[in-house]
Amino acid sequence: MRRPPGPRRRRRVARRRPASRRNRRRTRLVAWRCDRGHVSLHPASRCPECDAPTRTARIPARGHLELVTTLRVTPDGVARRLGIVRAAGGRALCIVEGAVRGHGVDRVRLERRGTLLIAVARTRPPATRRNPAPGASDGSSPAGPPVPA
Amino acid sequence: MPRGKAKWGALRCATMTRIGRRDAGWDALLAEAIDAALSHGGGAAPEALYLAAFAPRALCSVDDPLERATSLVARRTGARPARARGPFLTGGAALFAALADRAAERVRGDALVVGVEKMTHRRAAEAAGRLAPRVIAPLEHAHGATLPALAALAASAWARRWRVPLSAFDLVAVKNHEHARRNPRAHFRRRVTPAEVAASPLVADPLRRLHCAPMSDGAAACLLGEEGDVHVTGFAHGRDAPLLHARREPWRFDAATAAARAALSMARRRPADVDVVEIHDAFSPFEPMNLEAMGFFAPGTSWRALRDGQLHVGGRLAVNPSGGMKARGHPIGVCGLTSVAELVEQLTGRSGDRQQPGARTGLVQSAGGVSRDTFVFVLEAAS
Repeated sequence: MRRPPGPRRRRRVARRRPASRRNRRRTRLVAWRCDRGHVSLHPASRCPECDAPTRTARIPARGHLELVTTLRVTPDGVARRLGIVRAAGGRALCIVEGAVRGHGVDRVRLERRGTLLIAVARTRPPATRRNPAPGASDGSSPAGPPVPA
Repeated sequence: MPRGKAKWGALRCATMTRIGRRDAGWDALLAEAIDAALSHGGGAAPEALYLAAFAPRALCSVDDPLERATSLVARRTGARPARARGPFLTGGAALFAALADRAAERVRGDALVVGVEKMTHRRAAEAAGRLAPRVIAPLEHAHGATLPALAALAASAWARRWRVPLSAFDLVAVKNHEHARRNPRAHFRRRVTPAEVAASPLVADPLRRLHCAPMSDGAAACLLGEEGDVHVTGFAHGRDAPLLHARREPWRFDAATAAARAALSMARRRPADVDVVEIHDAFSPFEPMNLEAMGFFAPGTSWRALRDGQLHVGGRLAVNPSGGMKARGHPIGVCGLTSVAELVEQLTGRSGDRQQPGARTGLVQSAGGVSRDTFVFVLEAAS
């Protein structure tokens, strides 16, 4: 189809808003890496695997939960969940929050609270028009592909 | 078959008290074990004393356990041991130190190795709270981990990796309770069914109460010398990373693998030569995991042998004929010595109903934490 006569109009492109400092902090996590590439998610001046000196690195705060257990009997009587999470090639013990299935397939977001490492279950993002929930349809178009959680 | 003088050491006697909930205090249990060992050994004064007690101060407010043990031996024999070491955290560590001292010729005469623990006067939660910082790393403790939690993580990793059904854990507990029924000194002398184990309260998913060893009181002692009915033909120590998540795989017990390989090689034996084993089973899945780590079975296969009855007394390999820590009882600091006492009876044909026929070679494994430190001893009948 031919363009109508007249001055060319520039397409407006929405500028991406810069991430807030809080969000930037949430997407990266400080880890400790040795020269051999072993990653420790807990503070360690020496590598727990090879005893080499480590230096800090920033890794994506995403991981997957390899193992999870629910403790029913604890010294303080409060049940809690612990797991072993794998991120950036390193493994770490963590406290688990949120709904996880526990078959080694759960993807989690990692947070540090003081000295503790917390794995928070990554929930599915809210459904939008551009990002519809799997199986949902407004009747005008087929449903989009499943959105990775 | 070893004859005459033992190269590394011979067990002149090995005794243990009744394990379980005892009214006797820490000192009385210690005296009971020392008296039994000295009377079996002819009453001679030992040259060296090795004491094992996991938490005498935290649990019993005993500040000077080694002095108490040394004084007791001096009162009974009229002479203080020239060398006294301890307290070691487990009986296995104390026996290993005694054998190492003999091998290095620091001790030439008899050595008395004794372990004692008094736990049941504390409530379970209180005792667990006092023991946890000693058993697990500070980082794990800070995250709220307990030993059952770490054991549960290791066990579920093993079960998933080798596709072992979780019901296999129940079979271990059932077998060990069945063995303990025939052991007059065991903590639990009653039979349990798989359904009972599966219905017991959850401790740390997938471990239930009947998968976990109890807290017990008890003491054990052995007299190590140059000649005896049972020879120690191999002994070794293995060590793994203290943090579970820093290991190669959470389900691998590399410390057990290294220790068993070294001890069997020292004894010039293979796993197939062993007739009876006493294995660390503070949590039921640890029994098959340790058996596989030590080379008795290929990974993920031992539970089938258990299901087929090959690991019962009278089977191909008798595993934990005393009932293991699960049913015989688990006074922490004594473990290792209780297993040695059981194997000395097995190898000298004095185990009564639970005797493994034709037992000539035995293996004891004593571990701390989630298999962080492992001691392995190979014992053989002297004649």
